[in-house]
Amino acid sequence: MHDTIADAPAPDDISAFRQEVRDFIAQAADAEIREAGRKMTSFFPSFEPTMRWHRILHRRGWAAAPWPREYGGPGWSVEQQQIFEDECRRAGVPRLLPQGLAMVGPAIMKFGTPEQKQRFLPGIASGDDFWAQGYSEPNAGSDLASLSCRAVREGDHYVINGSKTWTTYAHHANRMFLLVRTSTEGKPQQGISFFLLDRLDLPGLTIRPIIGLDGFPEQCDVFFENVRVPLDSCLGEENKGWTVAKYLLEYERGGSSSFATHFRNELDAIRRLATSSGDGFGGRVVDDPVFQQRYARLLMETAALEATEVQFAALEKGSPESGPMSSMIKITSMETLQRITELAVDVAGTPSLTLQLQALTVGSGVEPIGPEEALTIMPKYLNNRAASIFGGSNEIQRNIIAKLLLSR
Amino acid sequence: MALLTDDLRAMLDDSVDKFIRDRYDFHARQALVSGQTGYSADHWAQFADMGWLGIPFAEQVGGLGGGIVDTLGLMRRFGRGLVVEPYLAVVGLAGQALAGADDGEARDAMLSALVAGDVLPVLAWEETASRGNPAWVELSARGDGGGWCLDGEKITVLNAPQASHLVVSARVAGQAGDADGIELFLLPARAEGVEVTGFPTIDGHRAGQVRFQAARARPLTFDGRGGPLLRRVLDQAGLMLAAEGVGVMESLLQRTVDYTRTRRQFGVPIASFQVLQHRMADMYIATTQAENLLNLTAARWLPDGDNAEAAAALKAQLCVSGRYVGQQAIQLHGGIGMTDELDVGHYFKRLTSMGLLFGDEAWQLRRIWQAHAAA
Repeated sequence: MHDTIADAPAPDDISAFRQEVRDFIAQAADAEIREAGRKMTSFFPSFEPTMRWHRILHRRGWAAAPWPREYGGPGWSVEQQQIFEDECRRAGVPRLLPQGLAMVGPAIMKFGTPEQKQRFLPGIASGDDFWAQGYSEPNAGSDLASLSCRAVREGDHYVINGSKTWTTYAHHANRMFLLVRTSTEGKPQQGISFFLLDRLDLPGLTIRPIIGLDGFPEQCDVFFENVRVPLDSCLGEENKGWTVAKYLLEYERGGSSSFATHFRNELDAIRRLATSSGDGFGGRVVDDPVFQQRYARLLMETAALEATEVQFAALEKGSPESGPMSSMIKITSMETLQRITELAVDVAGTPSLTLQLQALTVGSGVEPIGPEEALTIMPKYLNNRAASIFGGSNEIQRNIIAKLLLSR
Repeated sequence: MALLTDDLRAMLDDSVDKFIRDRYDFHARQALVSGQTGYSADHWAQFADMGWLGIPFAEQVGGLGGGIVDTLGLMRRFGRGLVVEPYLAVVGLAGQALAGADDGEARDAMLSALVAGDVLPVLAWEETASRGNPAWVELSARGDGGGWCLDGEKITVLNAPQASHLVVSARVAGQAGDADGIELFLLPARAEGVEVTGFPTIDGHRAGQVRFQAARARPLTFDGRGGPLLRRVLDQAGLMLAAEGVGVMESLLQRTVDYTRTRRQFGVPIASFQVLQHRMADMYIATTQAENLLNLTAARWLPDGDNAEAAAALKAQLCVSGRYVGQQAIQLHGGIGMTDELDVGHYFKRLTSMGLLFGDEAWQLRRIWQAHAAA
């Protein structure tokens, strides 16, 4: 996608650009959108306000920031994209949901027919459509290639039977991309196809939200019972879906967004809380050397992560090093994030044990018990236990790196 | 040291096992958690009938005449069952504070009613800035013409919304942080000037913030004996918490071993992967170290002496072991471990709570150093 990106603008233009972004966010993001940003406790902010923010950005032409101009992107340089991302994080607006913009969108650009591009990309860019991702199955998690959800040709349709799980926000989605088995011949990877479903209100398709550790439904089970979809549902060739999936997984694991900025913001919030928290001896937590060391270590980890992110961005996608490096970013970023959330819980202390489902619900108008800054701390800790599981568990990522080392 | 006979303790253990087996499967537990009161009054009456509420109390108030160590078998089983009844708060915290009270009349009346299951006193000791330090008491008690008035706020008061009475630490002299000048007071939970903001906690229990505004209360201790008593009560409660934690950890380890044996990926049970075997070996080590330290600490416990270093070491080990076992249990279960539907996540959340209650790891390590350096 980088081939259509504009040349880097001059420094003067850059600071003007930053100001333009900052001004726009300041006037366009309303209270509820900001609340959704503040109350983000996982990678997936509250659905309604986030999609509304997506559509607002789209009207300004900024929703699909990394997309080439021909598909509705703003045609920004990498630096401009970074500035935009920084300003969004600084303003505390919710991160746009990645399933369309960062996952199936780029896959359609790379593997889609002209007709598919025209049919699907505009709705992704505008935020009128929301896509759910159907990869994992109850018996195919880390071993994704063993998936068994089947699609069989019957006349002018495929008939799908099976189930998908951990499909984020499927209960909000109107579209879905999924991996299905269209052949049982050859290696498990060879009989998989990548399907695009343009509607989910199909006979035989049911969606069941799953309540997570934090008490909120974020993931879903999706069940297919003789669900009929048209033959043109395939992205890329039939039985070649694994190629698309691998491309996307690499995209998901690293490089599509910068964690370092996000982590620094999280650390800033911890520092503010530590500054206003007593240590039980008349001092402040922020002056406790044990706290300082843990905090400084996380800053160090974040700096090293940022350096790896920079290195990764300079790497050509699909080069032999890029797979293992995206695995490395996935491991280090998610484990650092987990340690950040752990430190936050320790700083917040027992008030973080309070279960505050209503106060965490965007638009509820319910005030939190205790400091607002502590409200999201425990849900973040709990939700981010999944950070070393999803997107290919960290054990699988270490396997990928070890395989590279031992193949040399 | 245990005070009850081995036979009696074995009988108690059996009766708790039977209760958990018959009455406390995960779904029954979840129904209690999402219910109005957050526990079962029927269960509580049963605890009284079985003599469980009286384990660590004197026979003159209807108790079994045991000590805190005699409750550990029960607590461990409560951990396995993820029991949400307020045993720790009522018997372990408020009950032990009452048992050490100087006011014999209030003590005997309250404990008789507690053992019979008629009252639910809970202990309010933690404040916003105390972070585990029970001497950080800002809440004040002022004497006025023969009575006492409490003003201030307590946080994370375990089971406050369900309580009938509050036992409250208050400052009568000196400044927050002073070990001296703290007394314990008793008052009804619905007394005038008491405002309880109750809430559920992430582990399925209940707690509350309590505000006191000129709330009239009865002193339980005199001459500054409240502070040392509170310290002892919290150390004992840490012992009970560790026993519960060991029960939680052994349940998680068992579930994880069972799950990895049946869960197949790449055509084999995931238990066949060495990296997961080592992880489970470390979970076993973490659980067993906590268990062994608990048992040794209990055997050497001085009912009336200074257990500071041992208590802090045990609680710190609970924090360390509990974090590792809880986190790895989720990791090895994968996505399913992240759901509300499986008990694994609930065990994990209980361990998470335990890590913070009565002083977190950093606080306990600091106490170990202080006790060690002073010796």
